[in-house]
Amino acid sequence: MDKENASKTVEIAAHETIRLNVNGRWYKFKIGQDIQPADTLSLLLREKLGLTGVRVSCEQGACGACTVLMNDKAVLSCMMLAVEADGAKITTIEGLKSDDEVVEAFVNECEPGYGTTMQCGFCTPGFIMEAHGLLNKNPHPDMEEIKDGLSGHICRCGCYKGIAHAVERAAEKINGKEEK
Amino acid sequence: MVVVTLTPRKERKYIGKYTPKIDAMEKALGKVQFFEDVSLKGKFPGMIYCRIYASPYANATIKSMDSGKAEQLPGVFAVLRYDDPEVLALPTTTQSWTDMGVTPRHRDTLPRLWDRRYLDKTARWVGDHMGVAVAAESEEIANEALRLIDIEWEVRTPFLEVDEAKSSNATILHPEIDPKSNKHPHKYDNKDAVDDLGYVRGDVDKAIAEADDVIEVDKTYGGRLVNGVLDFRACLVKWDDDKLYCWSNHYNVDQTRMYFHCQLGLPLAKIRVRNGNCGAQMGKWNMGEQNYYVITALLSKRTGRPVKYKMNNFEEFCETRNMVNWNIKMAAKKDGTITALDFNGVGNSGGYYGFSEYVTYFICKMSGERVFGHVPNVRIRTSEYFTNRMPAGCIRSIANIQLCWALAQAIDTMAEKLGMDTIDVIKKSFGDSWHELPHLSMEAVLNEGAKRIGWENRHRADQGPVYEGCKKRGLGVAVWNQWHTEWQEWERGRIECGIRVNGDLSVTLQAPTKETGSGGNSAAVLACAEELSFLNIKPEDINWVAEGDSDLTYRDNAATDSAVSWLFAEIIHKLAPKVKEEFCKRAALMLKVEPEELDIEDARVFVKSDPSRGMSASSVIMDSDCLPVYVYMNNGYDMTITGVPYGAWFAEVEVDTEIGQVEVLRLVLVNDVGTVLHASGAESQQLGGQCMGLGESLTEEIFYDKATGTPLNCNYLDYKEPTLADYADIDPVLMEVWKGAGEYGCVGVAEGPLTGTAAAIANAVYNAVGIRLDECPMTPKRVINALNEKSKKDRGLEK
Repeated sequence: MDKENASKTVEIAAHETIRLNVNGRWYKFKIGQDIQPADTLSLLLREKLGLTGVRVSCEQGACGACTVLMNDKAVLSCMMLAVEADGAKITTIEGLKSDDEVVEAFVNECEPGYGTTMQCGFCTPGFIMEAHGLLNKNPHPDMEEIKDGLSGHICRCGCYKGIAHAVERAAEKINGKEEK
Repeated sequence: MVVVTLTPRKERKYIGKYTPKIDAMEKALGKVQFFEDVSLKGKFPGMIYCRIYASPYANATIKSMDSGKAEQLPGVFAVLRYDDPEVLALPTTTQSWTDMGVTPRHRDTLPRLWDRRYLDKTARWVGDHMGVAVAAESEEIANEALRLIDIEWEVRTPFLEVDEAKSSNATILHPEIDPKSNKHPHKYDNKDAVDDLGYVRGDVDKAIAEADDVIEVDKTYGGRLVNGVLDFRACLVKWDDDKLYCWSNHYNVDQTRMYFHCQLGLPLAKIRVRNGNCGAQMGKWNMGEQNYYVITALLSKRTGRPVKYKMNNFEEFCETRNMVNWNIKMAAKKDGTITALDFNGVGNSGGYYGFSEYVTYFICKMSGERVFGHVPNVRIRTSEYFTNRMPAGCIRSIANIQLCWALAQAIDTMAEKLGMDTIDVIKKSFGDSWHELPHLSMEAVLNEGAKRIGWENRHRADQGPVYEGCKKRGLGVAVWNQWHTEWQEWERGRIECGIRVNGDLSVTLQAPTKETGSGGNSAAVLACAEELSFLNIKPEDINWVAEGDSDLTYRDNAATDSAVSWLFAEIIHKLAPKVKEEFCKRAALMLKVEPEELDIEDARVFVKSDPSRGMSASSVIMDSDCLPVYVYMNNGYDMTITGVPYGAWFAEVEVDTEIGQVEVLRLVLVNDVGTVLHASGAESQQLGGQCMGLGESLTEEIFYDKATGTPLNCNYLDYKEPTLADYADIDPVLMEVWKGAGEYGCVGVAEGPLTGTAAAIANAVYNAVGIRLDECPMTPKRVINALNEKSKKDRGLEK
């Protein structure tokens, strides 16, 4: 955490409550009671709101499984404090519907030569949220940009070929829709 | 990329198709429940946390312990010490408690040594769970309590290598097994081996003496890769009065129950074990680390609370493959026929027995039937040693990968010496002993792969063009048998399966297995829809029961050995006629005919002699008492020996001769699998296996501090697993050439896909720049060292 953020965190922690908009609904948490100043955002989402689609694994920012969107940008929810998200709009995998373009592309990937986007599925929500973050930032990524954008995630089952292909497909679909 | 889709040998409705996984939506939306989700503190009021002391020394014994400060720490509920009478009374335990089947203590499916004690006072590697465990209000307090424990140690010099283990100065790590040596006892049919000589056929010395050419390779593989999955090993135990409840992410509910039964003496019916999905398995839970189940259970009993244990990053990383050094001498005739193979395998299993001789002796002997079944003269010597490395054992592609690394490079070396194409040498001498040569499956996978990679363009070693001033390219190949097929799976024991057809013709499929990502559930559902197509049942009509529960479901089919998909497909094929029979029996009463007079098509039961008479299959249930049609069976194995099919790996690499970087440009993996059950799932296994293989070949390596024996990079930041940025172009090819017993006659495709990856890459590196790498991963440092050696040698020759 840089200096500015650190002082901001101290400032927020001194407040009594934080407010978060999670998946379209506002929540208020009393610091010291509902949450502790040292609680991570992932802990708040999983333990307090029951949003267990937020997967937590390495807790050191290396695996990407805990990725959520904060104000439409992909962030690692296990690497930031809940109080740092005060006032933010948070989207977790639970905030996406089955007809979301990225979700659909991940689910339906079965083109010959590409396998699937998942085997065990542990890392999948994190990849989907990162893909959304990438497409929010860059609606027309080429393959190199997709590889680069999603390289902070580990899929030990090794479904990278299917994942990259699905993101490409999702981008095409989103862009196609927008052009219409 | 040219994608050629699989052409199945028999066109079926759902089997062999490219379709999404059955649970893809649940997984994508994060609805699937993993251990961490079912064990949230909110779901278990009063839950506390267990932590077990991990030794900071690789080779040390506790002289005395003062746990007073830990016991007094607020938030600590219990401290369980090595000298606690209840701990001392526990039986010893072991690694490889099970592999594929449910195994009680008294019966081995794999040879075992009972070389582990619960909370032992001796540590044999840095990280060894030993000494003391605590249960506390939070994981943080539990960790703090462990830090407050004062231990007086007897610290000894650690050793990591076999040569050191053999030294007379080395500590004997398991004097209870052999007070004089760190060498493992022989446990297979080589029990009485003299000079470690376990197997002989023909006369190897004579064949070598008479050969036109002889080569020797000395290759080491293993000890560096870890499972590296994201869902860490864990359990939650609630021991209420006389009944023990356990939630876990272990791959086998029934084996976990058997473990508690044998170790704690509780009746099986008083133990309920449940699991949900698991964030990948890759072979773990076979290393003896199951100690944490019993320790967590004892802490639950002591505190009367639900107790949760979960490994941290370091603990989750501490497991690897057995490190094996294979020395192979190979003899051949001028025409390329391999006449002799002389193996000497030396294994390093780390602090405990690991999979020991399974990885050396057993697999080499089995490969003598499956891979080099036609080589007339074979000799196998093996030995295994304890060292202070982290324990070795089961990781995907177990044992085969170490041997393939050496043998595939030996074949390539010999081919070059003979001036022949490596593929021709393989076809001439390699295949299983039950089929003639050339083996049809071997030939098919080699031909297909060669075509895809452009093998005809392969230049002679180190003779290709130079790119960008310093880069050279090369092609390499490796082959290995696929595993497992039906006749090789009998040790698993019978499997159970049940089909319940509801009145609306939706289906509840009881085909219990832990969904680790291997896709046994998708295959089972597809086979069920295929076999029940007379009821017009589609995959989406079938509910596969996801949760393993030793109280409520059948024995679960251990998610190991690449066998679950086809095991279920075969048993469902046998169950489907019983479903039909039951429908006909019930309809016969309603139609007032004999059951034999009826048949079912398009979800309609009709009289064969007068098809206009009949009723819908649904009304057979809905117009009577609505009792679902339910059939169940348990099934053994067709032991017809059908031989084995093969996989072939082809790699194209580019080696940067200035910085030693190996870049894999392309991988082609061809697998003959008998019958493809779920094409997308099978390809996913091929691709994923290549990915893991790429990591093991190029970047994944645990480093040790030699002086202290401490593994240095047991976490996701310092240990480099491949990500999308490292991914190569991979072409997965499925074939149906060989066929096993049964309706589908499959062989697995999840365990094996990385077996030959490293070997093919190593052969490609040789083809590119003329260096033979003896160890993996093929890092810039190893490549540069080998290039320097070659350069020195070449200069010497010039003189």
